[in-house]
Amino acid sequence: MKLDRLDWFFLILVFLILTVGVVDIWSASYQINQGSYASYPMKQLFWISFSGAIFVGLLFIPYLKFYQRAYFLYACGIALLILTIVIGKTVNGSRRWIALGPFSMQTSEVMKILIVIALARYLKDRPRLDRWQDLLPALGITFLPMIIILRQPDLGTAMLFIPILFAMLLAAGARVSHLILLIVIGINCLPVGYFFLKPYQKARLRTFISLGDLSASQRMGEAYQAYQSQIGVGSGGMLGKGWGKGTQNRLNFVPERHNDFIFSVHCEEFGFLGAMILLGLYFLLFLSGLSSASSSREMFGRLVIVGTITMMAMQVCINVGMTIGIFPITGLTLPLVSYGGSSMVTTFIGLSLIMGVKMRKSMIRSVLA
Amino acid sequence: MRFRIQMVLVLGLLALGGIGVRLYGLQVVKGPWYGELALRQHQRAVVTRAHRGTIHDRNGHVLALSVVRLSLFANPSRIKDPVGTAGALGNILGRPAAELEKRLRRKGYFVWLGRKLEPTQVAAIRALKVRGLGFREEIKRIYPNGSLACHVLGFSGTDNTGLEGIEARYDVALTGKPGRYRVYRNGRPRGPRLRYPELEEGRSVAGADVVLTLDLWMQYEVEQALDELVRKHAPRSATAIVLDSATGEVLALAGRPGFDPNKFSKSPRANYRCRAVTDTYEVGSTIKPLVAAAAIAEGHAQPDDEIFCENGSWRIRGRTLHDHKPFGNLTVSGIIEKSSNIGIAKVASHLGPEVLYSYLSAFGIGRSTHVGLSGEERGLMQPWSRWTSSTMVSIPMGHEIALTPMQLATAFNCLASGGVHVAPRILLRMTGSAGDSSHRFAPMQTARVFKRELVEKIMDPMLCQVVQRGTGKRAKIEGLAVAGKTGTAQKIDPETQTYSHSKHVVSFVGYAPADRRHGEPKITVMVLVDEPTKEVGGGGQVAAPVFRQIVHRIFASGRLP
Repeated sequence: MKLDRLDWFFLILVFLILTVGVVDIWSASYQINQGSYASYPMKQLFWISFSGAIFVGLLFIPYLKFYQRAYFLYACGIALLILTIVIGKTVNGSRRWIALGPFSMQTSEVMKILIVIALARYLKDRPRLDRWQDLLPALGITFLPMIIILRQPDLGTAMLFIPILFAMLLAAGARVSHLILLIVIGINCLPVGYFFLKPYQKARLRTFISLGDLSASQRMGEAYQAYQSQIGVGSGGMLGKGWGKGTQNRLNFVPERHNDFIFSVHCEEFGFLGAMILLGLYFLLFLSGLSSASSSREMFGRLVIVGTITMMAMQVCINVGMTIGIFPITGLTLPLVSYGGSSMVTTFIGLSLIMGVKMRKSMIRSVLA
Repeated sequence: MRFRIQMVLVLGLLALGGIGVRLYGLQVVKGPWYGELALRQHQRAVVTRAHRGTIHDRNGHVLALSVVRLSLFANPSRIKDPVGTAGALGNILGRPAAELEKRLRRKGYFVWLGRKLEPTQVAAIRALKVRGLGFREEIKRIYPNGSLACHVLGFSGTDNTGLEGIEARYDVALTGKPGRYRVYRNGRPRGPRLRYPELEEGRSVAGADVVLTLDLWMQYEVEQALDELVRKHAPRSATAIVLDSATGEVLALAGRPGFDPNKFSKSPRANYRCRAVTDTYEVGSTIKPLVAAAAIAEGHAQPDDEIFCENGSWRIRGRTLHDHKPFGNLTVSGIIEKSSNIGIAKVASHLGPEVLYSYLSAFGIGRSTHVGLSGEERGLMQPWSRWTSSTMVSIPMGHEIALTPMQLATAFNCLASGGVHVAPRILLRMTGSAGDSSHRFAPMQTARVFKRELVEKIMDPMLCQVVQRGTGKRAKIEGLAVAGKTGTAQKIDPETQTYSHSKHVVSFVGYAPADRRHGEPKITVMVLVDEPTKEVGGGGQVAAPVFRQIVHRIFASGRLP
């Protein structure tokens, strides 16, 4: 069996985005109180190497193995989530992490990939999706982990599952009328859902809705993050203040700046131009992934690509959206750029799956032929 | 299927487009606005006060200076034991513990507990080692001589702006130019502020040092004399001025009641007033020699001309003039010596209003002396065109015009200086890089009023007679030629609107030495006492002894200008 060549264009895009990330984290790791830099960039490089190793290792596994083990992996994921609720460590009032020696793992991150695999398996096994009943198991596969994750609580990650499901159903050929109906039902559920939100989540939502005219106390209170982030983005202007010269960043005005709000740092220091370049790189990356999905004749691989790309693209949209004030604040990271191990590993697993499918197109073709 | 994936792509593109539009709006359209927001929240302009200038007397003695003192504050949220802390601090600061405790229990992170403490207090508080207390440097203004020259110096307030006296008058120069620099504020609530030298907008420029014409030692003598006066006669107020006869420099200026500028808030506001320039008085007979000199200079009278003084009572223009005792025939010198109202009215009657007015103006009456003290009054003198028929009778005896003590001293100094009006001044010079340069090295301003011969040949002997034989005998000093004139003016009773027989403003003005063969007069001294209440008497009884004491001390010490 002969594998196709690596998609170098795809890899170069990944490399460029990672480089931007390290450069941004470098600037964001400056600690003004100490007058020195935190070790984030080095740690990030470690996580990139670690995830890179996983990426390479997974390439050797034919992706159809994932098809075979899809439900088993999914079950393992659910078990991990339940374990997190039981023994997870509490950070800022939510229980999302399991301690693994010196590291900690965000289990919902891994679950994102496992849902994609499980959904792909189900949708491949069910080539016709004309009836409502055909859709219900897919909904079940998605909502079970969603509910557990909402309990953590991690609204951002949980809400991410819906567009993944939607995009995969769309790609798998579900009826458009069914999808529209799902959207309508979903929208009607939103007001009900509001009552189940935690106070801080409600506050973030209020903040988001009224960002245009905030009171001074809100700006110092519940809207502080969103407000400071927007100032950072806006004050960057067309060309930015230059690397390491963002005042919102270096003077500690933007919280979580190396992490969830790294895009704010990027915008402040590299301006509108820098922001558009980064978004352009993302777009090319996703385009490259989707193009191989549309050229793939194998349903499982195609759906995995669509699911993974949707996951990453939604994360980009939501993360960027919250930094620029068009989306409520959630704990979602910017894939490949934000500091953090769990997110990096998950993203690389997803990329590896995409690459695996890309490399095995001709192989599948030969099997089919 | 390909179409479905393209739909996903289109949705992605739409999202990207939305983000792009929003970013464009934030960064390009509203970019400058957000830039301003960022700037405003992380940059602060900090103002540094310049060192306030020192005030010296003419010999370099310090009259007012600024020192760095520490002020005590507390962060109430970190005070664990408010009761104990308040008790300990109360002992050191000498303030009620209950009040301190109330402050320590306030919500917040900052309360002042004591401003501008003494070094010993600071050491004692440091020794307590209480967490949550801190010190901040502040500038304290110190007047090392206490109440000495308080009306000249004035004082500056807690925030170091001049509020009275020289401190207020030359506040701009003394204050200097504040420095401004920018700091970068840290986003974290209690993060450090970083000073960026390259953003410095200007260093502070120290305030100018002010050198006054005062002589600290003479000032002390004058204050002593006034203290004695107050003990003896308990007046409403009293003022004494010593001028350098030749230059018009104010060598001493004192007033009662006074105050201690170090503790100015402990004294009533009325005591702050520098009555030498802010209050006006009908000064009475002290004006007579000036009127007589004008009449002689204009050729209407000779010192030896005999004038009938109507035996103490004279009806003229609907009113009756009185002398303090009846006189028959007096020479012009005699009129001054005995201080006859009727006599001087007759001497002045040949001067027309216009001429009398122009002489009085030339003496500086009716206009500000611009001596350099704040709150100066111009006094009161109607233009001659508005004078009534009795004004020509009233003014020669010191009624119907009101003078500040400074104007009286300056006017009389026209005789001491040999016939020249010299504008008085209190500012000798300013040194330093800041301040309004116009006040530096102010040139002496002089205008001749009389011929020198008139003063030397006629007025000096005439005024010496007053001291030798006349109303001013108590100003006599053995071995020194003293020229002077007493004044005893009835005050207008506010109830009856007529001249009171019990309330007087008494004064004595003179100069020495009045014997020009051995040199020009050195000093002109004016003493004015408002309403003596004990051992009541005229200028000769109350003011002349003060004058004598001042002049005697100055000449005995040999510390002449």
